[in-house]
Amino acid sequence: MTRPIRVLALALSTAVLATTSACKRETREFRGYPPSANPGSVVQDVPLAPGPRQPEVTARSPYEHNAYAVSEGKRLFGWYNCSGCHSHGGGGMGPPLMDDEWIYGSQPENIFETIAEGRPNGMPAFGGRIGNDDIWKLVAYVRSLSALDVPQDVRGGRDDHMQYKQPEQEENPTRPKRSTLPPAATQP
Amino acid sequence: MSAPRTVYDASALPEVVYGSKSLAFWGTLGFMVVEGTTLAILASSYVFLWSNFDRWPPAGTSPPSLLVPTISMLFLLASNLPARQLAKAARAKDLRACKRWLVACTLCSAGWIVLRLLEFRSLNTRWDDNAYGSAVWALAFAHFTLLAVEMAETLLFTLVFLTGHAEEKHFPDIVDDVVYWVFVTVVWVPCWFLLFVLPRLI
Amino acid sequence: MKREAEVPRSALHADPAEDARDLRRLERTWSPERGLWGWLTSVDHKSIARRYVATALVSFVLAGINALVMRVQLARPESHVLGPDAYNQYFTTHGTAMMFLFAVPIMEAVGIYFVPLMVGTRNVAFPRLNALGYWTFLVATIFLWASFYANVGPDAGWTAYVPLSGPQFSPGKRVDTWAQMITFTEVSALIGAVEIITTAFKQRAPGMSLNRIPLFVWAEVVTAFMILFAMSTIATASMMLAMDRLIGTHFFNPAEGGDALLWQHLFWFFGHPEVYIIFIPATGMVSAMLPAFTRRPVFGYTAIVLSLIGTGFIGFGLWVHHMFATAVPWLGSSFFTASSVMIAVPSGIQVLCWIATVWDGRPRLATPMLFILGFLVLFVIGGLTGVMIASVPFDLQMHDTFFVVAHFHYVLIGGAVFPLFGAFYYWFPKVTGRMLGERLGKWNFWLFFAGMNVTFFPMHFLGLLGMPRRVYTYSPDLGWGPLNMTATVGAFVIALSVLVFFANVARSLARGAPAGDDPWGADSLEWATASPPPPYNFRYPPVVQGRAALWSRTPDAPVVTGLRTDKPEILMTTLLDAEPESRHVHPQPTIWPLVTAIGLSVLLLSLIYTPWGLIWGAAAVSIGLIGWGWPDHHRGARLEERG
Repeated sequence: MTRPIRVLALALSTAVLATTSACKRETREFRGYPPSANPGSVVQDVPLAPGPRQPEVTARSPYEHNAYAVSEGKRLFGWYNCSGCHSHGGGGMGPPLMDDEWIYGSQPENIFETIAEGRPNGMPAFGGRIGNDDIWKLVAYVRSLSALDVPQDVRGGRDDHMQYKQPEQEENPTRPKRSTLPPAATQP
Repeated sequence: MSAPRTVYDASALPEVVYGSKSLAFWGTLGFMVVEGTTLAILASSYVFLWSNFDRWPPAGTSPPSLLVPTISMLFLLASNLPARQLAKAARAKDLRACKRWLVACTLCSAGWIVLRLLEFRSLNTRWDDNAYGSAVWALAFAHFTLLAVEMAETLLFTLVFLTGHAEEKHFPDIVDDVVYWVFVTVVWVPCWFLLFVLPRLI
Repeated sequence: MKREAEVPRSALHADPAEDARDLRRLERTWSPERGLWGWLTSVDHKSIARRYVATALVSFVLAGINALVMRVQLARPESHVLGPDAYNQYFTTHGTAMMFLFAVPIMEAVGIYFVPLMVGTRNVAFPRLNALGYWTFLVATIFLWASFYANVGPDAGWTAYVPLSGPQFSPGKRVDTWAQMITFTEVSALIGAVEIITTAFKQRAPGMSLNRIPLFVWAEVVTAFMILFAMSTIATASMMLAMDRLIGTHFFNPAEGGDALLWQHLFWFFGHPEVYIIFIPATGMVSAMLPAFTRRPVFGYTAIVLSLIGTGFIGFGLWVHHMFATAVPWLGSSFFTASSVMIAVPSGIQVLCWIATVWDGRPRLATPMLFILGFLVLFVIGGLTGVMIASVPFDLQMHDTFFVVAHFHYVLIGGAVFPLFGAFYYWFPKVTGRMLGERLGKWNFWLFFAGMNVTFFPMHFLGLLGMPRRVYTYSPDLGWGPLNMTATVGAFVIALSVLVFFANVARSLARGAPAGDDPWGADSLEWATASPPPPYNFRYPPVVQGRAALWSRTPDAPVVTGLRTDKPEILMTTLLDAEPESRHVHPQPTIWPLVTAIGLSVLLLSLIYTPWGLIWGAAAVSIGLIGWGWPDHHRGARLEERG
């Protein structure tokens, strides 16, 4: 009877090692900081200018590989009425988020800045109103809409809802195009 | 052990027996119950979900076409003719006839697969369209896996026989394989009725 | 046909030298190969069943540790041993492992060990499938625990209700771990069921007609039939859940015509029979042990058999009583209340038969008997609370409270784990050849009995006070602290009793008293052979002359001869009267079940991540099955030789 147990123990420990890579995907942190506790902006303010550029970032996106955070991002996307303009990612009054065009850049820092600082022609600034943590979750979700670097097993499945688009996990990864400037940005 | 004892001498009992006398028959029966239950559960789910809809198939989805599925179902039933011949040959331990009918049955089962693939295209819905599509696809696909398994098993027997590896114990195994064959072909008839005929009647 | 002309046959040889040679040949034919290879290729039902039991006990201990950690967390209000997320994984994995990796498989494993011995045959019906069943079960065990320790443990309750377990509210792969683990264990359980049914139907010793089958074998057969229907259902349901999560089907999405209640119906159509799948073998164990400790056959054989079968049928007709708190029609609720009360009848008949047996016999209070008496007390308490929550108005109050937790732990620990521990003490000598210590055994029993009541009895009150199950903490001003602290103390007493059990096992393996063939003076056939049984179980398959096979055996009882000793042959008999019918050559040890299990693991594990896993997995499984099915001819049985 001892040998089976030894074999079992060996196999168990190997499997544990093999699956620890899943940790990042499955971690769940329930309490972020409230908006009032934001330790300053993570993106340094620079003179407002159109077009993609590299923001001076002091924090990295923490949630690109975390399934729970991406799903929280999806929930917040609904709660903060992002759909009102971006319509579940398909675009309406605001630009679509599922395609490969990124007016202000597709990197997490770019999107963070877009949400935190707002953009001309209607995108409000959410920084200071919602927690930085929530913004990063929204960033991760927005990037999962077009499967940008967010792995397949981290992106969400179908909603318990009418289906307005295919689930994020079935999206094929896109390559972000370098975008032309929007008309609004050329005519201040 | 030196004292004289009554014994039952088993040495004259046969080694190769058919039908319900053989172990494999009971194993096959067990797995038929399992697979039958699986199909029954999927069929019940189909009916359960039906009650959530005013129209079935739901508005905007055209009902599945009847032609290919019916041809496929009739072909499934017709394929029992060669299978029956195969069972007969196996019971008669006729090696040559077994080879002949095994090839015929393998071709038939390949025909099932081709027809079923065409049938998927005539369902007129996708599994992720709505609950109707999911239920239809689940039942059709679950049965498809049974067809694939039966095709694989028949193919394996065919290869064993054609390459001259056949043993006497394979004859009852072939008879059991035909029992399973009858099961996978006949069990589709109520499923076919449920998926393709009943929604048109109601 | 070239058969049996000049091959030697086993017989009762007059010549002792020839007799010894024949025995050696039999031994060689049935023995597994040596070393690690022999361990990986063994198809002997006894070694596979031992592994099943050992693996299931690992899960029992690990899931028990989960329970202890949860009890520590709940001992005081607002404690921080576990956070909410960890707590969800702890209780889900505790329940899942206890049900799917411990209770069901260990009950089947005891059947896989003892059904062939009790019916007097040499192996189970399909030894290679049996090995495949074990390997898949092993993968399931490793998979669930590895996932749990890697923070991918399932966290939606062992019932995995949608929408919580659906794609929207359970991101990541935790619930997929649950769903696929279910598929693995169902494959293994279904295989075990087919084994047990076929063995009991076709391989019984001559003379063991249907009305002489030991009650334990009856119980295992009824269980196996329930498994065939119940486990197919949950395997289908968990596939539907996995498809909702992976390829976006809408079975459980109400907005697209799906239905969350469909999940509950399917789950409980399996889940309620599951309780009986665990409980019925336990009753069989009680019926198997009672004669040895009361010195009389069990009272009311026919009544018990009919009760077992009745339980098997009614068990499928009361699943909705788990769903009284959902919007099922009132008429339906009334029907299921009635059937839930009705199932108390066959269980009650069994209990009364056992009491009559003890009453009329000369009870001997050895450890197994203590566990039986403990079982009677605890199971009756659990049964009574069961009748209480079968009534809709009471259930609506108690639904998802600790009252329910108390109820099902009384039924499952009292009704199944107690007989199981009794059976460990009873059959350990047969399996290992050594007795377990009686002194430690009594400590084990009394600690378990006390701990069990101290842990779970207060939970009735907690439930009545309104404490919901599956909460990770509670507020101090609710006043639940003292009762919870009591329950936690009890949990550690149970843990202590389990430690005593393992100490007893270790001590006995090292220097236990030798058992001999039949230490208890019992009545069934497994005691007619050596302890531990030789690889071929019986030198000469016995012939049964009465219901209590050993007690009714005359000194010159006939045996079966004429089975070949140079091939693994078994005797097959007719279904009803067990008349000898044919001989069947069993397969040799083989590696292919293990290869097939690995292929199956590729199939199921890759299906968690991509639908294409179906294709790769089918290819991987095919490799195993081709190797399995391809004839090996080492006995020159080919019909045509190639020139």
